[in-house]
Amino acid sequence: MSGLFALPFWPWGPAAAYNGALIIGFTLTGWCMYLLARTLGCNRWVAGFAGLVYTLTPMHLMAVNSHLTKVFLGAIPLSLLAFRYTLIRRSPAPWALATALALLAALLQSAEQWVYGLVGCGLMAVYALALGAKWTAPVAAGDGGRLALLRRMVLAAGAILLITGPLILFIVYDTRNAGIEVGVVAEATQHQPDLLQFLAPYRFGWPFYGGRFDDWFDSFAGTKHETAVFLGWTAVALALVSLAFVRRQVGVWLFLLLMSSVLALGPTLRIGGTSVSLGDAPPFSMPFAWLTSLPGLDFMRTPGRFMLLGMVGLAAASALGLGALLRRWPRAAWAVGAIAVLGVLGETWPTQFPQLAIPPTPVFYRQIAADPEIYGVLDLPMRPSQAVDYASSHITFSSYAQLDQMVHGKGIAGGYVSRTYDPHPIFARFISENNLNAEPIQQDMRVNGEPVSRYANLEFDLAQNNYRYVVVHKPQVDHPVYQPGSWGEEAARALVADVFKDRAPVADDALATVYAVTEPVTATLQTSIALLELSTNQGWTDDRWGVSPATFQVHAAQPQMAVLELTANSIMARDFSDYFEYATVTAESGGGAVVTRAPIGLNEPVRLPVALVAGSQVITLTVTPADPSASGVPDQLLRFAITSVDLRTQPGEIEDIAGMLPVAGAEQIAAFGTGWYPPEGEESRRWRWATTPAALWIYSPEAAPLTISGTPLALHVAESPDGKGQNGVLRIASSDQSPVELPVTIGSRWQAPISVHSGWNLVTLALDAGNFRPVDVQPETGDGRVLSFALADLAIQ
Amino acid sequence: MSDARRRRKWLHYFLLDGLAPLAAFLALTLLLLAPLLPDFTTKLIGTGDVTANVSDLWHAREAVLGREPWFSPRDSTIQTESRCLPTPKAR
Repeated sequence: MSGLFALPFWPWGPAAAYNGALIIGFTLTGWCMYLLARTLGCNRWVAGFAGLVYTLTPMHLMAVNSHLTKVFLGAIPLSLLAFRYTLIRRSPAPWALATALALLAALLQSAEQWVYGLVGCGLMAVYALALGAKWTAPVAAGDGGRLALLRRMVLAAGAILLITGPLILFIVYDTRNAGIEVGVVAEATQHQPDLLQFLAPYRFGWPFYGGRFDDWFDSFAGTKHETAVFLGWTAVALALVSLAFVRRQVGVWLFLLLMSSVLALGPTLRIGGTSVSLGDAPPFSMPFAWLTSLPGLDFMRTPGRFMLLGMVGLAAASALGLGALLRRWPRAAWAVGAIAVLGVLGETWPTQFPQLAIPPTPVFYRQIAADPEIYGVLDLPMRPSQAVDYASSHITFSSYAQLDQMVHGKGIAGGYVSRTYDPHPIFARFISENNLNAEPIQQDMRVNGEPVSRYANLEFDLAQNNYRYVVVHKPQVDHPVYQPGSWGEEAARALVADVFKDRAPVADDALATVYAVTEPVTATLQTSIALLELSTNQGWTDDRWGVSPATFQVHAAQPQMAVLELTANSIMARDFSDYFEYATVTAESGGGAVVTRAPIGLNEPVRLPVALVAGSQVITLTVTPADPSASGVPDQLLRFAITSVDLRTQPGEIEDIAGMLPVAGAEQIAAFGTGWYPPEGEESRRWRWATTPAALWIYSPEAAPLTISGTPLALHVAESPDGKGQNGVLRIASSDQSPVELPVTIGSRWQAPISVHSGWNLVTLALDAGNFRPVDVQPETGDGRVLSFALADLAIQ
Repeated sequence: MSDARRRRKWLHYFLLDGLAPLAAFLALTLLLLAPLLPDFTTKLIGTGDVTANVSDLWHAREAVLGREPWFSPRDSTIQTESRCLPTPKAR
């Protein structure tokens, strides 16, 4: 909605567009509340008072500071107006439609306003059903009236579903598929208001209070713009008056105010900075916690904003109270009205709002604005300061790149949202609040024992993702947060030196230095590995933590098998609630075709085979409890403090833990995967025992039909006294074909066709007879291995 | 009710419940922001999130003008985190 309000102002520039949207949103908010009050029987002056109370709602005023989404609130009172008429007017259908349209307007402003409007309608419905004819005459009359009400509610619900449902579904689908972390309800404890904040003003209302409560609230109040829930004494007094004189009309609005206030308190009841509990029990849960536990509502993290709904109730109730007073003392109407207005103005009139000048845009960006081609630019620095706070968060700082984007119109790598990608989808190795080091070399990420740069092969990734320029912004004295001598400049220069070496920039002016991206040949890539860090601040300063499933970006010049050696010095539950001495680590590589597991203990290196392709790829390490049944949490994922992750690629490393197969094609690779035992036999003829199923990992540069062959030396037969027999049926499967059934006989070479796709493939061999343990059938062997078949001469052609 | 009376009644509502209160709330808003209005075209009112907010308005304008999609292309290779209308200039 604000985007539409801004449209007429764009000819005067972005500042005018923003300010214009703000002014229109603010104006319409008061007017919409005015309209609601008019439908309650208030005269124009009293309805204007309702609009004044709602416009000067503290949270609404605070929105001018930085939250455009809370500047236009008109859709909330409009939805309540329309829903009330749906219940009480003779023709409900048009009003049901109007309710849905008002909620659509709320949704177009922000999803949470849609929730507030919907909750408001729901509360009104509950109130109406509870009171029936006492409130909703002429429609309702006794139980029959409630049935009629229910029909009207169903009508409104249908209209709401029809008109806002598709957009809601689209939003849900889009957020689920975008990889954005939406469920942030855990942050509600940082933003929940204290009960005392409903009763006294905090950091506004200068005419009367002059900030005399500020020091007191500073000691325990949460984020001030999210906890601005002061009700206003004048409005409360008038609401109490209404309760005395017009109880029947005002009941629903006070009910709305009461319930919204309870929701606004947040997940616990906090008084004087302490969450209230009963006895020694933990703090009890409040309705906000119940509401946000419903599916899809865990995106709400600011309970205080429920007062955007609650203040509609208070504005309506106070207007009804003022109207009652004016009717009671008509001769003193002007005096009563003036006192009420001055009271509201005095309690909430703000001190001056801040302003921000839009920083100038580099000349280079004005030049590429005329370029019709579509590509991206990478803005540096990632953030201005090493310390992570609001101003130096990479998320908030990237909003300055958004300002430049309004000029150049190209893709950018970041943007400011409260629901972030975690980790960053492309550049998580350095775009993260947890990247505190300007130094490119990461001591904990190694290739063949040598620490590697977190920016290794970055130019390759930039080119692959269609980024054409890297723009290093120069700090400016008058910039709001990026000042000369900042850590961000140092980090940006280190990145450029590491990636572009001595290459000259393509543009350089007082505001920025620009480097052009060229795509390196894949075969020249340096083997590298980097931790893809979570975007949001995790608060650690020493060892970096992998949070399962932890992802690592790896570059390689050619496809190959390698060994990943992980050493962890601490293993904990993701929420740090539990500590583990031993666990299981699972590595996934080769595009998901190669999955290996191994036990891991503290400070003991664990080696896992991994499959690499040429270019950039992601390897995932997932640490889970060694005994999942004992952990008490099904599928529990753990975090691990990284001493080092070493990618070992030298010949011979892989032979130690996996083993390679002969292949006919020069560009194809095949390795023994899971389920195979170490080779046995003479050097001239090696063979291996395998369990069922046993995996082979096969790489092919392109989709191709191949032939796999081998000679069985042993086959499990269940009926045999020693567990072994002459014949069996081998099933050979790959992701590209259904299993091939192959009768096999000891000593007879078999061969079977298999189809593979380009990249790494998982091929499994399984004997129909399954597995056995020699010790179970011949205890004297003492052989406790799980065996199924033994093959010699295994080869891929 | 005759058409003329109906028109007069609507005009009455339009003026007294439409324009007049709108003008009053516009005046209230301008009064609140009065010290900042001289910089209307050069400075954003507010701080903090406003830099992202103005970018969102720009995306909305581009979408209205048909120059950008309303929603993020999911196969985008140039990713962004911009609220509402993520960077549409994707490859």
